[in-house]
Amino acid sequence: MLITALAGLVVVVGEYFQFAQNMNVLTTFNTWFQVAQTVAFPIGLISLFLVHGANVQRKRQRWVLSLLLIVVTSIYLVVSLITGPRAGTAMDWVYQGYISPAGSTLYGIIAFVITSCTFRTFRFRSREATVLVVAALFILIAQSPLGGLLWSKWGTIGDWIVLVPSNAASRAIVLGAYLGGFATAIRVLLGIERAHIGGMAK
Amino acid sequence: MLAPQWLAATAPRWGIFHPGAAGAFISLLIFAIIVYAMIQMARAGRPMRTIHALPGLDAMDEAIGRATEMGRPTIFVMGIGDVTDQMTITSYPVLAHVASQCARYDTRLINPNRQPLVYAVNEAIIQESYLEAGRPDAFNPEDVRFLTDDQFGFAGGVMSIMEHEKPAATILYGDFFAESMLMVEMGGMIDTVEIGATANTAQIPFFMAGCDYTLIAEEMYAASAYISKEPVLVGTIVGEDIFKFLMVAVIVIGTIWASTGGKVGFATFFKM
Repeated sequence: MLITALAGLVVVVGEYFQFAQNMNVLTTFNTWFQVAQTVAFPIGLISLFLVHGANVQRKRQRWVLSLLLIVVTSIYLVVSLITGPRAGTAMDWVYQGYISPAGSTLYGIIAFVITSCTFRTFRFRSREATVLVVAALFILIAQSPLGGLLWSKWGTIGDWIVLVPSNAASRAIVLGAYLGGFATAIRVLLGIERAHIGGMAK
Repeated sequence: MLAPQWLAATAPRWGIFHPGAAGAFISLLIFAIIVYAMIQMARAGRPMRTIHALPGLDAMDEAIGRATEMGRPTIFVMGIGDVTDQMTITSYPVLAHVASQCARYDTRLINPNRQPLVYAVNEAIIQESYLEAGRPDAFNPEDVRFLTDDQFGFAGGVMSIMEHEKPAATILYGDFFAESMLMVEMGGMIDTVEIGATANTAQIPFFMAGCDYTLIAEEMYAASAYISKEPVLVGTIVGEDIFKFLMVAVIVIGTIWASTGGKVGFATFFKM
C-alpha cells in the first residue's frame, strides 16, 4: 500500500509541478513501467504453455489445436529472436501475411455483428425505444448518400442530432466517468481500496 | 474554429505549477478534501446516503447462481486495458466478489486476460478470494489464463472459450474497444446472461444493445462501495456526487458567462 501511495503521489507531482516536469519524472516512470511490462511478458507466455501443455498431456478435447499453438508459438518466438522485428524478415513476413489480415478479418466482422445486434435490439417497445429507433434510422439515412437524395436537409438534421444532444449526453457520461476515476484513485492512494493487492476494500 | 485568446494558458503564476495545470490541481485538491471529509464523517459513524439500486450488480449473484444450477461456468473478462488503467483497477473488487461467490457455490470461474501483468494480478486476486471463502482446493490456475496481447486475437480467443465452454454467466467488466461487440454477440448466441460494464463511451451503446444488464461509466466505479456497503466507501461516492454538483454549477455559470461576452476575471482560474 505504501508503494502504491508513494507512486501515486510521484505521478501527481510529476503531472502538475514544473520542477518535476523539468526533471522528466513522468517520462522516467513511463519507461520503468514499459520495462516492467516487457519483463512480464514471459509470465504470460509460460501461462500459455502450461495451459495448452496440460491439454496436450491429458489429451483433452481439441488438444491438437493446443499442440499447434505451442509449436507455432515456439517457432515464431525463435525466428523472431533470430531475425528481429525488421522489415523483410521472416517475423515481418508472418506478421504481414497472417497476423495482420487475421485481425483485419475479425475487425471486418464487426459490421455484420452490429447489424445483427441492431436487428435484435431496436424494437418499438416503449416511448424511449421509439425515439431511439427513429433517431437511429434518421442518422443512418443521413450518413448515407440516400439521405441527400431524398431531402437536402436530412444531413443537417442528422448532424445536429449527433453533434448536440448525443454529444451532450456523451460528455455527461465522460464527466461522471472521470470523477469516478478520481474517486477510485483517491481510494487506492489512501489504502481504502485494496483488491489489487489481495484484500477486499476496508 | 480557433479558441479565443482568453482561453490560452498563461505562464506559471507562482513559478510552481506547469502552465495550465494550476487550476486542475486546485480542482483536484478540492475534490480530495471533499472526499476525505466524507470518509471521516463515515468513520465517525454519521449516517451516509445509500447508493440507488444497480440492477447490473444485483444480477451478478443471480447469474452466478444460474451458472451453478445449470452446471456451467462463469466467465469474467476484464477488457484489454493494462494494469494501470482506471477501469481495470476498479474491476478488481468486482472480480474478487465474483470469485468469492463462485468459490462458495462451487462454480467454475474462467478469466481470460490480454495483459501479462493483469493476468498475474488476477490470478492472485482469484486465488486469495478462494482462500478467504474456505475453498482453496477449488481454485484451478488453468482457468485464469493469458491469451495474447493482440486485440482481435484476444477477442477471438475469448469467443473460442465462450463457444467451447458455454458459460451460463458472462461478465464483461473493464476497458473495452472495438472487440467488445464480438464478445457480446457471441454471448447472444450461446444462451448466457451477459452483464457489461465500461466507461468507454464508444462501447457503451454496444453493451446497452447486446447485454442483459449494463453498468455505465460511474456506476462501475461505485461497484466496490455497492457490493461491500462499507460506509467509508459510500462516503467517497457521496463526495464524488457533491463535487459533480459543483462542476455542473461551474459549467452552467461558465456557459452563461461565455455566452454573454465574458469578463477576464472569471477566466483567470482556468488560465492558471
